[in-house]
Amino acid sequence: MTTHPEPTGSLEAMPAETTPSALLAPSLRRLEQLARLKPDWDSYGALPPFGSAVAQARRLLETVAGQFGAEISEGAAPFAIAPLAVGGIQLQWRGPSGEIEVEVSPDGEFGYLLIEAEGTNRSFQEGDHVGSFDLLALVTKVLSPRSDI
Amino acid sequence: MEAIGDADALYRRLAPSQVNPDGSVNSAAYKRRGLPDPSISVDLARLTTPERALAGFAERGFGLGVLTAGAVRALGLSVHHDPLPASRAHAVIEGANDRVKCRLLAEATAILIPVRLPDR
Repeated sequence: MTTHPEPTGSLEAMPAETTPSALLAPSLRRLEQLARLKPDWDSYGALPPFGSAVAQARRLLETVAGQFGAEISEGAAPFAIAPLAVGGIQLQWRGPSGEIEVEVSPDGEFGYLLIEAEGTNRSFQEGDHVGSFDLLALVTKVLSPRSDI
Repeated sequence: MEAIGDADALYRRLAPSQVNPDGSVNSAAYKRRGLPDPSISVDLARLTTPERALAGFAERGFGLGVLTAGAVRALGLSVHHDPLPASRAHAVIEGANDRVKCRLLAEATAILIPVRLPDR
């Protein structure tokens, strides 16, 4: 069973490499990189990420890092961040309970694909126009330790 | 128009930002612009070469993914030859209208020519 460091209850007491700001830095650099993409960045006519999508993605990253940073350190950072051809951003988290792909649309709306492993099978659940609260609950579900272990 | 068999290989250009840190293809590589029955452009491998499929893009760090028509059809999608004046090998995958199909297309894609990743 994987164990996680106990929350210390204080940012000052945390090792520097596990503070939310330290966890966020590579992801924020990645967002900055994607924000500089030019039209047709994929050679198939893609739009560059909209500023509103980048800003919303940043807010989501900060929220997840702030909520989980002390508990699971590196897992609070997304596994991947990719641009969407429509001008949005996709963030992916992997955790003990599965994986979630979060789409941020050009106007900042959330959609998702949740993948849960059940033995050798996988189940998929997707949704559109998801509120921040519900989305955070899904990310929490993925990043939290499995309850069946 | 060429008939495309299940064993036919299809090439898909991959931008550096579409490959995950572990080398797998990100599902975003198959997400298009939200239009009904979106079409995903690919090249029919036997009518081109990897170098021609990447012509003009390799220097920008692009790589090349490959998947079979059979893998596409196994997902309930269609693939057909759609030659263009600029590309006789052009084909389209249609029906990828949900996130699950895009994810499974990405998982069915192998990397033939790696992307050159920018510093992350």
